[in-house]
Amino acid sequence: MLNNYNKWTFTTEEQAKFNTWLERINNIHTGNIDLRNSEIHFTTPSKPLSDSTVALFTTAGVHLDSDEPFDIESHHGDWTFRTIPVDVDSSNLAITHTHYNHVEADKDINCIFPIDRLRELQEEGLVGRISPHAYSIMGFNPDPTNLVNETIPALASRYKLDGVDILFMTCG
Amino acid sequence: MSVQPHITASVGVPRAISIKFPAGNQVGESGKPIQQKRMLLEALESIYTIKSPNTILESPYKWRRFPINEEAVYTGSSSGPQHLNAIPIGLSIDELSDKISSYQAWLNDKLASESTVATPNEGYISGLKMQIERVDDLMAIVDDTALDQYREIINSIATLELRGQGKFV
Repeated sequence: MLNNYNKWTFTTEEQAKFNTWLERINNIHTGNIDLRNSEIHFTTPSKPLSDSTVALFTTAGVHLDSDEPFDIESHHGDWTFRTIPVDVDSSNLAITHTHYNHVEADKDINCIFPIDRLRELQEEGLVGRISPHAYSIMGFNPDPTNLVNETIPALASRYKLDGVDILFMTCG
Repeated sequence: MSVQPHITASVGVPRAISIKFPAGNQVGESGKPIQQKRMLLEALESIYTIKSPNTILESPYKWRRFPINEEAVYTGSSSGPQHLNAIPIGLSIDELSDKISSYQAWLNDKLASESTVATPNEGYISGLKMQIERVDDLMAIVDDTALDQYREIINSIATLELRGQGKFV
C-alpha cells in the first residue's frame, strides 16, 4: 500500500532555506532554544498492527471542552499537557492554538486528531486496541526545557503504564 | 505525521510521514472519513516499512481544494489570510491543471485512434508521443512544484496575518 511513498531527503537548497528560517525564528522569539535529539531511539515493532495497542498524541492544542485551555498569551508558550479519554465524544473536543489554521479541524477534529477513524480501524480489526488515554500539548514552546525534562518523561510513563505499542503523533 | 519535514528531520525522530497537506489538515479534510482513515492507516503501516531511525517517507497525496482559506481562521480575532492574490493564484493553478488534463486526454485519444488505423501515419504518431511527453512534464511542474509552493505561501500568509495583529507570540 505504501509503494507510492518515496523517501524524503534534505536537499542542499532546502537545508539553506531551513537555516534561514531558523535564523528568523531565533530573532523573533527571544530565548528560543534549538534543542535536538542527540540520540534517536528506534524500536522495531514486535507484533502486527492488528495485535497492537495504539495511542494518540498531538501537539495541536487539542483538549476536552471542559478542560482548561492552553495558554496562548504567553511568549514562553505552554509546556503543560491535557488528558483525553479514549471514549470521548469527538464533538466535545476543542483546540487552543494560534500557530496554525484550524478552521477545518474546528469543524471536524479528525483532520488533526483522528480519534473516530482510529476507532473505526479497531472495529474493522486492523488495529488491536486503542490506549485508554490520549495526551495533548500545545506545540508553541520556544524554550522546550520544561517540556523535555518534565512533560515528556511524565507522558512516556503514562503511555507505558497503558501498555502502548505504537504512538501515533500529529503536530500543530 | 509532519507537515514540516525539515524541522522533523533536524530534531530527529524514529520515523515520520511527510504530509503535503496544510498544517491543520494533516489527516485530511473535514467531513471526509474515507480519506482520513486512509491517511491514518498508511501512517500506521509505515511503522512496519521504515527500518532505520529518522527516516521520513513522503506521502504522495496532494492537496487539491481551493481556496483553502475561504473562511475566518483562528478562534481569535484574525480574519485569516485574505490577501487579494492568494486565492486567485490557487484557482489559477487548479484551472491550469484542469486544462492540461483535458489536453492530455485529447492527445491520448488521438494517439489511440491513430494507432488503430490500417496504415498508421508514423510521423504523426511520433509527433503526438513527443507532445504527450512534454505536456506530462508541464503537468508535473503545475501539479507538483506549483501546488507545493502555493501551500507554503498560504501557510506563510496565515502566519504573517497573525504576526501583523500581534497574535503570533
